[in-house]
Amino acid sequence: MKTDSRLFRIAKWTVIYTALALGMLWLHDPRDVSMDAAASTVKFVYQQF
Amino acid sequence: MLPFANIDFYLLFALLVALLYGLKALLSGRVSLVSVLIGISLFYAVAYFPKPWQILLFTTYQCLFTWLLLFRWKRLHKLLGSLLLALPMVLVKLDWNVDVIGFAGISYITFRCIQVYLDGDLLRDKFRFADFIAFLLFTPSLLAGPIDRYERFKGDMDQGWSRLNGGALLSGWEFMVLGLLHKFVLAELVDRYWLSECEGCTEAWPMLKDMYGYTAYLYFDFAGYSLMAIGLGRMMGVELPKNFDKPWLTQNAPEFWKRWHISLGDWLRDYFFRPIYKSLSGVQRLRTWPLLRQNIALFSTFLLMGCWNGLEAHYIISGSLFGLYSVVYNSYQHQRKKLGWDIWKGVHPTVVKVLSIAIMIHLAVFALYIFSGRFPYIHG
Repeated sequence: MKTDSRLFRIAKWTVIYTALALGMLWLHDPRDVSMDAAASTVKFVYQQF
Repeated sequence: MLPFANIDFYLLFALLVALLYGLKALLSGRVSLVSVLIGISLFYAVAYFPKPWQILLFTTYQCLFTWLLLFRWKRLHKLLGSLLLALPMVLVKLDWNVDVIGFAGISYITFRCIQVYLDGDLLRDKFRFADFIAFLLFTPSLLAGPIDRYERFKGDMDQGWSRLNGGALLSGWEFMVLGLLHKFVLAELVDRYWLSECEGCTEAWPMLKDMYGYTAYLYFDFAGYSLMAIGLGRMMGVELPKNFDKPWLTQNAPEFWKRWHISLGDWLRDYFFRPIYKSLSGVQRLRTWPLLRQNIALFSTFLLMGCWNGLEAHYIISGSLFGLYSVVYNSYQHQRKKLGWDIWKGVHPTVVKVLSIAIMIHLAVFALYIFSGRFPYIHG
């Protein structure tokens, strides 16, 4: 399958959206507006920059 | 509320982007895109920064001195001018009691001002204050880059409202989705199920696990952050530069910084390495030693990068390691060209490529592990 074909694009984005949706549901509490990973980056950013 | 840190930020900017596109027809012709972007950036800084006066005071200082250096103090030595712009950042890094300006994003604003100042001869005629303010405070890249260039940013602003179109919105959305996946799923997975088990370990195997885990985490986290910044930037009409480009395919140390935190690597090359190399060329004793000049400039650049992260031992050693890798590679290339001495002679190019990638990735992972401060034998 060519990487610029329509079919490849549809398959690629289906995988991405599915992984994102499942990952967010599994790893983050939708009722909790603070996100752990983001908080760690902000901490990192504060330390570095 | 810091950029990309919690759901409120995403909701606020979803609303702002929707308003930008919804009111585009009404606003275009009446008010410029750059004015609206300044308005959004100022609103964000004032309403959501923990201490908004810090960023406003610091930006005023930087704008004032950049303008003075560009248009009034043209004869001042570039090094002195750059130091004047970097002074607040240096004071913060030295941990002097400068709460008045110690806020997240100070380095990136400083880098942008130094870029404008050092490129002053090329930019002076094109300089427009509104573009400059928008360039400094553009919210998506305010905190952690990517470090844009003024002339590129201005090019986007010159196109005005036509920058906001369906293509930009879709492409921005795609970057945003990829960034969310990197940061909130992949980085979170590594953090939760890989890193948390090994922190503080002193035995060989858990330390190795920690070393690779930290690099994976840092990549997903920072690349995700950069992707989201690029995505939101595109939705708002600004095409921020790419910050990561498959760093795991790096074959040598200089290439690493063309694939990892690219905008910082490019900035250091243009505004630190080149001026140092140029000034070393004027040193009589080094005139016949071009390799030594290059190596001094290379090592100093990476050492500075380490010090910029902080003056703790792990940052300085990590920067020095990257400097050492670059010096060794540069010297090897020099010898290869001059003497024809090639350690890979007779080896198939594909094998050379695979081995180079394998060696470089392990060297980079080790240096980043030192950088993390998690290596138990090097403490801050």
